Parts: sequence; structure tokens; C-alpha cells
Amino acid sequence: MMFVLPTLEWWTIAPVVILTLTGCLVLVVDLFRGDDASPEPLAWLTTGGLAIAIGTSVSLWGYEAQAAFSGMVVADNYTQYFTVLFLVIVGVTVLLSFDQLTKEDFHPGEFYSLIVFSAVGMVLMASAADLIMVFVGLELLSICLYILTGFSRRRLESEEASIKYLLLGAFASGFLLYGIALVYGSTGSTNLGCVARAINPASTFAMFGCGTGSVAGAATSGLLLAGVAMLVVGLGFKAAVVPFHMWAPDVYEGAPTAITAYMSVGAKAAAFAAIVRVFMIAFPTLSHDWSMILAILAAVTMIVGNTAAVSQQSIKRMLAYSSIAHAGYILVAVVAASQVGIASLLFYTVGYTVMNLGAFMVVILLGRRSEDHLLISDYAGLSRRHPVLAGLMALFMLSLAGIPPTVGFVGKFYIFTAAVQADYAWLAVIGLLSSVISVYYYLRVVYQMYMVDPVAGVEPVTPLRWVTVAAGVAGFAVVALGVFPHGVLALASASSTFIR
Amino acid sequence: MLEQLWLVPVFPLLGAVANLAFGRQIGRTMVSLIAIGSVALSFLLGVNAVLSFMSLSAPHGFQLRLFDWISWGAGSNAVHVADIGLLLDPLSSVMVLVVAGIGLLIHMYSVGYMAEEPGYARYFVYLNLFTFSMLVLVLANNFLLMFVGWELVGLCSYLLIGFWFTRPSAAAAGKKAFITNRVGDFGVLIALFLIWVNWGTFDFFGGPGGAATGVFDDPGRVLATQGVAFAIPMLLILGVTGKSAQIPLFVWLPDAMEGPTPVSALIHAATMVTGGVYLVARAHLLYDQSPDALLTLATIGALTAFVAATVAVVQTDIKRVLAYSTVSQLGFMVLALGSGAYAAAVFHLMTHAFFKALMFLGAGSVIHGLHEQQDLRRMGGLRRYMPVTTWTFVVGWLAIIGAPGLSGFFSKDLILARTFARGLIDPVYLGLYGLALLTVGITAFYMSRMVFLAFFGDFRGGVDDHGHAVIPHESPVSMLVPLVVLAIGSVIAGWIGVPSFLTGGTSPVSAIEVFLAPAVAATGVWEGTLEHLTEIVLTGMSVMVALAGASLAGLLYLSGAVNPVALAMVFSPFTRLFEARWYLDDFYRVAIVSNVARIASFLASFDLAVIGGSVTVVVRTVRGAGSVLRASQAGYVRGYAVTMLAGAFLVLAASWAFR
Repeated sequence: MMFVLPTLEWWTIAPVVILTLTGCLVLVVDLFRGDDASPEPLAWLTTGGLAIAIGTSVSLWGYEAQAAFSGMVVADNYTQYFTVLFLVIVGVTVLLSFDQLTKEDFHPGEFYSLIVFSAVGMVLMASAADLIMVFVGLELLSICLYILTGFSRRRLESEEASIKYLLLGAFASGFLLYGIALVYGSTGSTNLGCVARAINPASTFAMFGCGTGSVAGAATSGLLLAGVAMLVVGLGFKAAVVPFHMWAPDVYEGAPTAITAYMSVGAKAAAFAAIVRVFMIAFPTLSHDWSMILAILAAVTMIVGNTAAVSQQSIKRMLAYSSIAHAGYILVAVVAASQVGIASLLFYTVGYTVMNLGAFMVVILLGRRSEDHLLISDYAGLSRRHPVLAGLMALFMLSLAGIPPTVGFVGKFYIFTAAVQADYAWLAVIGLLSSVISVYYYLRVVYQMYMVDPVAGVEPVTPLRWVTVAAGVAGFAVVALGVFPHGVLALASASSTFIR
Repeated sequence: MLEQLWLVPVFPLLGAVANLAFGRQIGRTMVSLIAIGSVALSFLLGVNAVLSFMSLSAPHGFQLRLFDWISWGAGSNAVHVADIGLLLDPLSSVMVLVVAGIGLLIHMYSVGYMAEEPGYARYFVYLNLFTFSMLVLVLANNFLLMFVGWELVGLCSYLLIGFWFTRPSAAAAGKKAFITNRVGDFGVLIALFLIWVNWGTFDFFGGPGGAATGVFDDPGRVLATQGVAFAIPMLLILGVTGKSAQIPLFVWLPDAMEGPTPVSALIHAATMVTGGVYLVARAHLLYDQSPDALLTLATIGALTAFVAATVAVVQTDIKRVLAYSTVSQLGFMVLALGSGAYAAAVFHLMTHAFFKALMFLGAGSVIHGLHEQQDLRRMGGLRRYMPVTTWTFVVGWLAIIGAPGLSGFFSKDLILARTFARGLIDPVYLGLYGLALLTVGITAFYMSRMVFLAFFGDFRGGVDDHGHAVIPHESPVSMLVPLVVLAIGSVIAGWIGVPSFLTGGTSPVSAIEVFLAPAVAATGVWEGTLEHLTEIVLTGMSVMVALAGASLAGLLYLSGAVNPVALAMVFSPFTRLFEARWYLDDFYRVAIVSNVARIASFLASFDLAVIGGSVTVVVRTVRGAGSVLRASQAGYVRGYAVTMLAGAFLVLAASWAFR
């Protein structure tokens, strides 16, 4: 009997390898450092690893899609698009967390290695060609995030958030794994391409490494649909889609602010990266089954997220609900289930990342002594104390609300256009109406900053130089992408060609 | 060097950004250096680009597509809307040189004029931003980007009119300009929609990287639907009446004189207000499709020229005389456009930019020298105190009234001749020609009146309102140099348009018309040239009329042979009409503003009661729902897990229901 060794195309996962080595290196270097040593060298080490991984990923851009490791991962433009996005987010998180790291005595070696390993999980989710890989990536990401959430050990809220996240996350993982099992049971495979072929023999997703042989099982509709529904629950949890969102406000509020920022953009984007792969590759022929479910979930998510945000007093909680609402907008693009829809999803993910990270940067700059000044009323009169920060915050709020000429407007425009083209006009209408609600709570921050007199006792802080610069860059990007969206949109279109 | 064309608008933008970011820290000298340097670089690159272009044999001009700006969709659904691209052709060449050249001089002049201003850096930020916007407007290769420039110059105009925003009248004038222009911009916007619907592109010309066929490659596409062929030019005319201050929307321009005088010279005389003229010249292929639209344009132009000139006769504020004169001269340009003489309009635009900028800057020098005195009745005899200002101003005066040999003479006569030529085909134009000829006389009268009152006779402003003695003084050199340069320009700028009967050339048209022909030559039946003898007679007539006007002014204000007050009494119905500015502002106040206010107050109460009421209901619902949702978020993990479980069941049930 011949035993054929699988060919290992290492280059397809080169960024993952580099990141893993970086994470391990950080841990090793940390062993040789004194307890009081500055975390700065480790931050540079992490950033360096990230930069190399980004460079590698960029150099992999433009190649034909290539499945590797027996159809476990696939390297195509879509993978590289998300990889670069994730790693930039991680880099920004390293920058944002630095101050809190030193002030609250976080253990830097663990912090940086965890954040790098979570990035490995995200990259694997975007490159997964197999449901098992989606699960592994998701778990890797989640477990790192559980710990990172509880990193402010001295704050009870942080610990509480961590435990809640862990319990509910485990619950959701159960759904995901059960869904995978049901899909396997009904189709005989966990490879996305094979699943597609089992459902519809005409499907051609050869680049997902399914091979050409016959597929074992035939799709049984009952089991399969139950499996798809379970996948919706498991992945929807990570993306904070209503009604699987309840963890998000508590966890976002309790986690260190830099980690909140990280979760709100990174983990969410990773969840959508996996959702798109799973639903557009494995189940495209069932789209009329799941797209209505997703459409209802998107509508509920937009309505609940925006409505609940209205009555929040804490800015972190408000942004948590806002990020739930944005998950709804992004889900609309999935519902559109077309190349245009996915391109607009990719674009929106970038735009949302820029504006949401920008907003969190301002929150971090103002709430520096551990975790204070986090009420919306603390922003009263900010325009007089910190005119530049207030201007940037106003810009981010307007962009999140979707007002031109910002990226938030263009992104929403593309998504809702795709929805209308896909005959989901009612969903676009709900999206627009619920974004009207969102204008209220975003502008409430602007109102506080510009119209209300400063509260006594809230003294000005000295802004951190590099975070301020990063916020300025984000502000510039918000406008630049709003006026000249074409560059990123072209990349997004080139990344969504795997969808027919 | 044409590939570097994009730097022409970018330099002033960089200057604006630099001064915006660091203007308050780096001191006035650096601010001025950055502002002037950026425009100077822009001008030099512009000259270089125009020279390279002229050595190129590309009749439709040189297109530089920088990058894709707006497009959506992918694959076969891809829709390309517009790119960021520039077009250099004879028309935009002239405009770039005028904008960057005059802009440069006015930046230099402003250093002296604004020296005492607290908002020095802010002023130069606006001025650089304006230069950038105007260059975008004239260099854009598609309607959409042009409209961006169009709106941006409007914004800069608003900001600069209201530069002294603490003064209520300045703030009000800024608002008036902005709101009046909104009416015109509305027309342009609708025209853009129609263009998109009918052509599916905004590009002027097709080419690699853009649309295969531009709007002007196929101007006759809308012939099948005559309504559109008429509607687009008419809607654009609405924009012209706003931006270029024509009847019925000209009322904002005289008030715009609240801004600093160099701004009046640059924006409200030389460049921005000619944006409308540029727009028609650019879109002339669409106008050639519609003789009705052209006639409308010509009528508006001739009437505006006449009405504004009559109002200028009775103004006592030196800047207001110049403002009405600008409106009147813009009327001449619009008349030329309406006569299909696009090249003549652009030619007059250019010469007018020189002599009107010169006179505005001269007026600024006078105001500066008299400590903010703008009233002609408190001037007089200034030639003894301010010789350079006086004699450069006299050059501008001679140019505008059409003294033979100076720039205004050639351009104005070209307009009159082309209007007359068209009158030989369509007699209505003969009437417009007559009105224009009469306006030439009135122009000569009010301009001479201003010059005689300000610079000749005896000084009448010895004591100011506070009882302090006023001794006029000449302005600093930085202000005088631009005056001299502009005076030279006012003399020689017309020499590129010397009629062929003087040069003895074989071409029936002048050099400037030959140069502009690839961009703006009229198509269709309207092109008409005159016999040399006819042209000579027409020229003679206009010179005689101008001489008559100037002589009358001399009798009234120089020699004192006729008492102006007595003469005004004799013609009191007319003077009252002129002083009331033909009751146009009053008409707007009664017919439009008060009605709009009435509708607005009705809508406001409707808004408060019905819409506000329903919003309150919605707000209460949303707030209530928000607090319910908040209450459901009790913080217990078991509750969250149950919610998730219920959601999972619902999803399962739904997946059965929708299968």
C-alpha cells in the first residue's frame, strides 16, 4: 500500500507561521527580562513581527487561489485582504494598549503573545477552506480574548466580563461544533468545496481543495438545514448578531479599553470573514433558505443595536451597542449574496475599522487614568479643553452615523445599493431608518462636546503623542476614504472574485 | 511637462493646508512666503504646461486622468461615474494663466493690504484654498469634478466675504451671496442629473481610461428629445446668473464688497464670477443645439449690462461703483456667449480680469491711504498724494471705457461686432447690440465720474468722522508693484486680439479667436464675420459713444460746467430708479423673502406640531424600547444563555419555515 505524504505548501500560511513564531519569541524573550523591565522592547518585537507578516501577506497578493494542507486552508486575495486588515488592527491595538499596560502593571510578555496568537486565529478564520479550520481559528481567537478581557486584574468588572465571555463563548462553540457535525453528517465532508458539491453536484469550487473524486454522502435537507442554523448561531455569536449579542455590552464595558477596541473591529471582522466563506462557498445553492433568516437577523440586529444604544450613559457601552448595529449593516451585505455585496462588505469592514478604532482612540486618550471619564457626560465641553480631539471625535461620530463626506456614508451606500440590487429593498429601508436612530446617540456625544459647558473637576489630560497621531491618521482616512473610495473598493472587488 | 499638470492645483492646496496647520505658529513672513510661493509655483508650472501644450498638436486638448474617483459594482455591473482628471485645452489654458497669474499678484498685494490683520494666516488659507478650487473648476475634465470646484469657490467666496465676521453686515453679505448662489447651483445640479441620464457619463471628452464617448463627443445625442436639449442649457444659465451675477440673481455681488478689497479684486471681479462664463464656453456645444437658450443668454447679458451700468451711475461708494461695473462687464461677456461669440467672451474675460483687478486694487490702495474711507464724496485730488495709484488707475479707466489701443477696446469691440454680425441673421440681436452700445456710453460716463471725483479736483476728506485730520498717503511698494504689473497687462493684454483689418492678416478673425477656436468655435449656422468696412464703422461708433459719455462726465465733475445735482433733479424719476437699484432688492424682499418667510413660519409650526409631535412619539417609543432592552440586560449569564437558546430555537424554526 502506497502511503502518499501530503504536499505542504508552506507559503500559503506564511503569515500564520511568522505570527506564531513572533508570539513564541515574545514569550521566550520575556523569560529573560526582569520584572520591572520596560515593556517597550517587547512592543517593538511584536510590531516587527506584525510588519513582516503584513509584508509577506502583501507579497502574496494577486496569486491564483491555492488550497493547501489537504484542503484545510486557501490562500487567495480574500485571505490577504483580511490578513492585512487584521494585522493592522493588532498593530494599532499594541499602540493603544501601551499606556494602560505600563500603568496597570499588565504582564507584557503574556499580553503581547496572547494578542499575536489571537491574530493567528483571525487569519486562520479568513483563510479557512474547511469547517474544522473555521472552528480551530475561532477557538484560538476566542480563548485569547477571554484572557485579554480579564487582563485588568485589579478591576472586578474586567474579571466578571472575562468569566461571562468564557461561559457564553463555550455555549456558542457548542452550537458551532454541533452545526459542523450535522453538516458533516448530511454531506459527508467538512471541506467547504465538498459540502457545496454534495448539495449541488454542479458546484465548482475546485480551489478549495475538494479534489475531483465523488463525494460520499448526499445532502439530506432536514439535517443540513439544522446544521446551517447551528452555524448561524455559532458564528453570529462571535459577530455579536442579535439575539446572540447579550455578552457584548458587558464584555466591552469590562475589558481594558484597548481590548474592547480590538474586539469590536478585529473579532467582528474575523467572524464575518468566516461567515462569508461558509455561506457563500458551502451553501450558495441554499441561499434562499438562509438568506431570509440572515435578513431577519440583520434587521433585528440593526433595530435592537441602535435602539438600545440610545439609552446608554457609558461611552464604551454605547459603542458596544453601536458595534452590534454595525454587525447588522455588514450582515445586510452577506444577505445580498453577490460579488458586489461581498465587495461592499469588505469595503465596509475597512471603513468601520477606521472610524471605530478612531473613536476608541479618543476614548482611550481621555480616560487614561485606568478606566475613568467613560460617561458620555464626561465629554461635556471637550471642544474647549481639547479642540483637536473633540473635532476628531465629532468626525468619527458623524462617520459612524453615515453622514457624507465620510467613509461611513460611502460604505453604507455600497451595502444598501447591493441589498436593493438583490431585491432586498425592505432590508435597506430598515437599515436606513435604524441609522436615523443612530444619528441621535452619535450626535449626543457631539452635542456634549460642543454645546454643553464643561463639568467642574474634569481636568484636561496630556494627550499621548502617538495615539493622537494615530487618531489624526484615522480622521484623515475617514475623510479620504469617504471622498476617494475607489482605491480600497478596487482591492475589495479583486478580493471577492471567488464568488460567482 | 504636461504630466505634471496636476501639480498646478495641488500647490495652492498644500499652501492652504500648511498655513492652516502651522499658520499661527510660524509668523507672518513664513505665512506669506508659503502662500505666495505656492501660487507662484502653480503659475510657473501653469505657464510651462500651456507652452508645452501649444507645441503639441492636440486640438481637443490634453487629458490627464489621475485616478478613478467614483465607481461601483464589479464585473459586468461596474459603473464608472467619474475620475479625477484634468483637461488642458486652449480655453482652460487661458483660464489657468488668468487665475494663477492674477491670483499671484493679488497674493502679493494682500501682504501689504492685510498687514495689520489679526486673522492674517486665516486670510491666506482661504485665498490659497480659493486658488486651488478655481484651478480645479477650470481644469476639470468632467462635469462632476468641475462642479466640485464650482461649489468650493462658492464656499471660499462665502468665507472671504464674511472674513470680518464680527461685523454684522459682512456676515449678512456672506450669507446673501451663498444663498443666492444656491439657487443657481440648484440649476446646475439638475443639469448634471440630466447629463448623466442622457449620456451616462460626466466626461467632457472620451478617451483611454474613461468613457468611450464624452458628452461633447456627441453633443447631439439629446436632439431626439428637444426638451432636454433646451432644458440643460437653460438650467446651466440659472447657474450662470448666480455665479456670474446676472439678472435676476446679481443682487449678491454688490454686497460682497464687504470682504477685503483684494478679495473683491480676485474673486468678485477677475476670476470666480467669470466661472459662469467659463461654464457656458466649456459647454458651448450644448448651447449650439439650442438657439432659444442662446437668445435667452444674450438677452440676460445685454439687460444686465445696461441695468448694472445705470445703477453704477448713482453710487457713491468707490467699491460699489466697481461692483456694479463688474456686473455690467460680465453682462457683456454673457451677451457675447449668447451671440455664439464664445471666443470674444473669453477674450473679454481675460482683459477684464486685468483692468478690473487693477482698479479694485487701486481702490484698495485709495481706501488704505485714506484710512478706510470709501465714499467718493470724501475723496478728490488724490493724484497729488498718490501718483502711482492714480496713474495706474487711469490706465484701467481708459481700458474699460475702450480707449483705442488698450485692452478693453479690442475685447469690447469684438463683442459688439459679433453681436452685430449675429443681428444680420436674427434681428433681435440688433436690438441687443443697440442696448450694448448705449451701455458703452453709460460705462464711459460712470467710470469717468468715479475717476474725476476720486483723483481730480480738490481733496474733500480733510476730516474723518471722529474729527481727526486725514492726510492721504501713497501705499507701500508691495501694493504698488502689482498695480504697475496689472496696468501693463491692461494695456497689452488686448494686443492678442487685434482685429485682422488692423493687422492686415488674411484670417477674418483675430489671433485670440484662432487660438481658442479648437475649444470654443461655434458650430452651426451662427458663425458670421463682417466686412472690414462694417467693422471699422462699428468701432468708430463705439469710440464716439464712449467719448460722449466721458465728455459728459467731464462737464459735470471735472470742469463743473453743469451742476450734477441740478441734472439729477431734472431726471429725478430715473435717478430714483437707479438709486433704488431698479427696485430689484425690494422686489425680492416683497415677493420672495416675505413669502418664503411666511411659508417658512407656516412650515415651522407644522414642523413643531405635526412632525415634532410624531417625532416625540417615536422618541418616546425608542427610549422606552431602549430602557426595556437595557433592563433585559440584567447582567446575569443565565439570562443571556437563555436568550441565546431561544434565539437558536427561533432560527431553527425559521429555517424550517423558509425552506
